Amino acid sequence: MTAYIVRRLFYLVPIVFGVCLITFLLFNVVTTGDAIAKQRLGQHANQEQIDAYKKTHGYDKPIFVRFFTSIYDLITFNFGRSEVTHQKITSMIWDGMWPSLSLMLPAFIFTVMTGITFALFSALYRNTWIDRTIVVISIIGMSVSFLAYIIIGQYVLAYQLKYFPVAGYEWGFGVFKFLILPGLIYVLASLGRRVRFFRTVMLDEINQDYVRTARAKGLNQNVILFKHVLKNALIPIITQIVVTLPFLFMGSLLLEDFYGIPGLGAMALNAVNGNDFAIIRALTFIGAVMYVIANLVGDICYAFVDPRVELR
Amino acid sequence: MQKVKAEPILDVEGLKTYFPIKRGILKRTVGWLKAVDDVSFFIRPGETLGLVGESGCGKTTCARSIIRLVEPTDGEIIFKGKNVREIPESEMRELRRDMQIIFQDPYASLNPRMSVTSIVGEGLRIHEMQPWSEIRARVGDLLEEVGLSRTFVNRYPHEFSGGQRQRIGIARALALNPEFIICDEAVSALDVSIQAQIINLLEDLQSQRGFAYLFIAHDLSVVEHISDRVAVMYLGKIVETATSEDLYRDPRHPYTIALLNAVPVPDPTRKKEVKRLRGQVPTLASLPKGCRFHPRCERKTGQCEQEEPPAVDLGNGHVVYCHECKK
Amino acid sequence: MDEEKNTQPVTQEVEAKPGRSLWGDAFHRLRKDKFAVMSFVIIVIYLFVAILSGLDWIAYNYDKQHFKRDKNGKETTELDDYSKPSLGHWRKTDVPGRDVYIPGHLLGTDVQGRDVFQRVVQGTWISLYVALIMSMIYIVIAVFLGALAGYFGGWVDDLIQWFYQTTASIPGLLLIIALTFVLGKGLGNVAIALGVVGWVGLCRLMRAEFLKHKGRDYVLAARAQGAGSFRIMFRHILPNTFHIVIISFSLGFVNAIMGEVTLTFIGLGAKPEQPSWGRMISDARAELARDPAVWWPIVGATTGMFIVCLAFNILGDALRDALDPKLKE
Repeated sequence: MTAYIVRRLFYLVPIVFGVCLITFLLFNVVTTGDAIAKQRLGQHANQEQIDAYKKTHGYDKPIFVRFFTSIYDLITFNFGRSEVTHQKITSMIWDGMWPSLSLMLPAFIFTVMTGITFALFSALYRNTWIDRTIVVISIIGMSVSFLAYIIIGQYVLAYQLKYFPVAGYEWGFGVFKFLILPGLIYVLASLGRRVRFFRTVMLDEINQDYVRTARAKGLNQNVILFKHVLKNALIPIITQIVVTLPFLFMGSLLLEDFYGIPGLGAMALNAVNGNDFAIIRALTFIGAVMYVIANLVGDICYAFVDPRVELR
Repeated sequence: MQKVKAEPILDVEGLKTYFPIKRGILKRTVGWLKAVDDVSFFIRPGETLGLVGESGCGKTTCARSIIRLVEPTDGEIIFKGKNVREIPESEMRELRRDMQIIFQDPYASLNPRMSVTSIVGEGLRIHEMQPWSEIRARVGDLLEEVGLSRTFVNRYPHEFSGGQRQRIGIARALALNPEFIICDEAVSALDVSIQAQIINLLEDLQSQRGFAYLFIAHDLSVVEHISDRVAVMYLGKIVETATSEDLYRDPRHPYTIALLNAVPVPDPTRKKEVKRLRGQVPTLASLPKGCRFHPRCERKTGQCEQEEPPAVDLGNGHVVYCHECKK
Repeated sequence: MDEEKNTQPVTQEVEAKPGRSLWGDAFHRLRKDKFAVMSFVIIVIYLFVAILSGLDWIAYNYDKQHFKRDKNGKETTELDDYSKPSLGHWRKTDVPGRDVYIPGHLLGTDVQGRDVFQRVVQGTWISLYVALIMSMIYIVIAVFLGALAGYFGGWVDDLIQWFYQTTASIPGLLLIIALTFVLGKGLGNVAIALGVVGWVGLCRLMRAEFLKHKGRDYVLAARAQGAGSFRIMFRHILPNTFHIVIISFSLGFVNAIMGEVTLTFIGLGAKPEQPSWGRMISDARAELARDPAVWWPIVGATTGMFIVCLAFNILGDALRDALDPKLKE
C-alpha cells in the first residue's frame, strides 16, 4: 500500500510540471507580452507604456529565465497582485474560497444524497414505470441550459413570488437566506446527471453474477440491494465525489454572478471581463493542483476499498 | 510427400522468446517468463511438422515468434535462406507473403467490421495493389477452393458458423499463395465433426499446392493423421522429435508416453491402463532446475533434478531429450 | 446458418443476398426503440432547419427591424420593440369585406424590433456550427492520440497519458477562457477552444480500446498479412471502436450547445447582433427585469435548445445501449 501511495505521489511531479508548462505557454508564448500589455493598456498605448508594462511584469527577461521564475512562483503559491485592484491574489483567493464553499458544499451534498436515493429507487424498481419516470425526468432535467435555470429561477421565485431575496451575501449565519435559492437551482440543474450516473453504477452492480447467485439463494431483495449492491456501487460513487470536490472550491461562475456571492467564480468572471491575466493564471493553477490532489485521494480511496486494484 | 533430401524451407535454431516480468515503482524487470526456451527444429518444403503440447507450454508463442508477431529474444529463424530476425520490417512484410498463419479461434481472428472480400483480399491489396473488383473475383475463387460459395464475398463474419469462419481464415492464408503455413490449433476450437472436415481440407490443399505446414495442436490424435514428423513440447522446450510413425509406435520420453496414453482409443475390448500424470505443471516464470519434467516424472533420478537432459539421437531423426532414455 | 448446414455441400446456397454488417445490425436494433427513432427524426429536422437557415433560405429576416403598424396595417416609423407573441389578427377597415390581416410575430420581437422566432431558428445554425467545429477538433485529436497511445504503448503512451492528464487537471472553463484570450473572442474561437479542451475523455476511452484490440487475433492476422501499423490502427481497429466515437459525438453535441450559452454569457461567444441561443438567454437577464417582463426570447431559445438537447441525450443513451452497453459516463 505504501509503495502504491509513493508511486502515485511520484506521479504527481510530471503532472504538476505539465500544468506549470501549459500555464506558462498560454501566457508567454501563445500570447506574447506585447499582446497582454496591449490588452491591459488598451489599443492606443504607446511603445513606451508597453515596454514599461513588460518590464514591471518581467516580460523583458529571456524566456527560460521567465519559465523558471514562473514555475518557482507557481509552486510557492506566489501569484503576485491583481492587475486591476492591486490586491494580493493569495488573500483574494482565500477570501473568495469561503463564499464559494458555503454555497457549493451543502448544495453538492444534498444533490448526492437525493441522487443516490432516486437512483436506488430506480434500481429497486428497475424497468417499471417508477424507474422510467425517474430516468425521463433526469434526462429532461439535463437538457435545459444551466443559465436558463438560473435566470428563470431567479425571475419566478425571487422577483415574482418573492420567496427568496434576489441576490446578496453576508458573513455569518444570516447568509442562509441568500444561499437557499442558488443552492436549489444547483441541485435542480445537476441532479439529473447524478441520478443517471448513480443508476448506471448500481445497475452494473445488480447485473453482476454474485447478485444473481444471492437472489437465486433466496436472499431478500432489500438485503441484497442495501448490503451488497449499495456497498459495492459506492466505490465508483465515492471516487466521483472526491474528484468533484475541487470544483466546489472553485465555485460557480454563473451562480455567483447572478446571486451576488463574492466567491471564486465571481472573481474569475470579473477577471475575464477586466482582462486580469494574473488572476486567471492563479486560478488555473490552483484549480489544477486541487484536481490532481483530489484524483490522488480518489485513487487511494479506490485502492483501499477495492482489493482488485493492483498494488504493485 | 516424402522429400527427405530437400533443403529445409524453415530452420529454427535455439529460438528463445522471453517476456519480462516487471514490478515496482520504476517498472524494473524482476524476472523472465520463458515462454519458448531454446527450441530448434526444421521443416522441409511440402512437409508437415506437428507440434504438440499442453496448453500454456509455449506452442503458440513459438509459432508467433517464427513470423515475428511476437519478437523473439534470441535464436535464428532461417526462412528460405533469410534470417527472419535480422531483416528490416519492410523486407519482413514482403517475406510474409510466403509464410501465413491460421488462427485457433475463428471468431476472434476475423475482423467483425470487414466483409469477406476485405478480409481474404487484404494481402492481395497490400502486396499487389489490385483494384477491389479484381480482388473480389479472386476472393470468390479462393472461397470455392475452401468449399464455400463464391456468393459469400459481400457477407460479414458474424453471418457464418465456426467451421465456415475457419474456412474463411484458410482462404485468407491461401490468398498470397504461400509456401509455408502455420496452423495454430486451427481445429481445436471446432466441433469434432467439423474438425475432420477442416483437416481433410487442409490436407487436400497441401497436396494441390504443395506448401509446408507447422501444425500445432494440444492433442496427439489430431496431429497423427496429418503430420510427417512430430515434435512434442513441454514448458517451452521440445522433449522429443520423431517421424510420425516412429513416435506413435515407439515413444520414448515419459511425457510423450503419458500424452499418448491420454488419447482415447475407440475400442471397447482393449482395456488399457491409463497412466495419469501427477503433480502440478510448474509455471513458466519459475521453472524447476534440471529436467523440466522431473517433478511429474516417474522415472526421475538425482541427475534429472540437477542437469538439463542432453539430446539423445535414436536414428532416423528420432531425438529425445531425457537422461533415462539412452539407447 | 448453423453447423448442420455445414455438413452439406456449402455451395448449394446460391442466393447472393448482400450481407448485413454489424452497423446494419445495430441500426436495426435501434429502429425498435421508438424514442430513439423519434429523437433521430427530431435531430434530422433540426439539422435540416439549421442548414436551410445557414444558407439564409429560411428565417432570413432575423436581422430585419420591424415597425409598428397603424390601424390600416401600414408600417409606421416607430420601432416595434418588445411586441408580444401573436399569430396576427384581422383588422376591420372602412370598406366592408376588405379586412386587413396584420401579421404578428409568433414569438414576438426583441428590443430592436427583430422577430424572435426567426432568431431562434437562426440559432439552430449557430449551435450546429459551434458543435460541428468542436466535434471535428476534439474527435480528431482524441482518436489520433488515443490510437497512438494504445497501439504503440511504451514512451508514446507515457507521453500521451501525461499530456491528457495534464489537460484534464486544468479546470476546463478557465482553460477555455485562457484560450480565448489567445485566440480572441467570437463563436468560431469558442468552438475551437471547446474542442481543444474537450478531447480528454474520448482519448482515454480510445486508448483503452486500442490497448484491448491490439492483441486480438484479427489484428495479428492483419499483421501476418503484411499490414503496416497505420493500416491496422485506422482500417482494422478504428472501425471496431468507432461506436464509442459516435456515442461521444452524440452526447458531445449537448455539451457544445450548452457551452455556447455559458461562454456567450461570459462575453466570449456570440456578439450582441448574432442570433445565438446563448445570446438570447443571456439578454433575458435584463429583459425579465423590465415591467412588464419580456419573457418570450428566453422561453423561445430555451425551448428550441431543450428539444434538440433532449433528442441528443435520448439518442446518445439509445446508441450506448445498442452499441456498447458497458460504457458509462
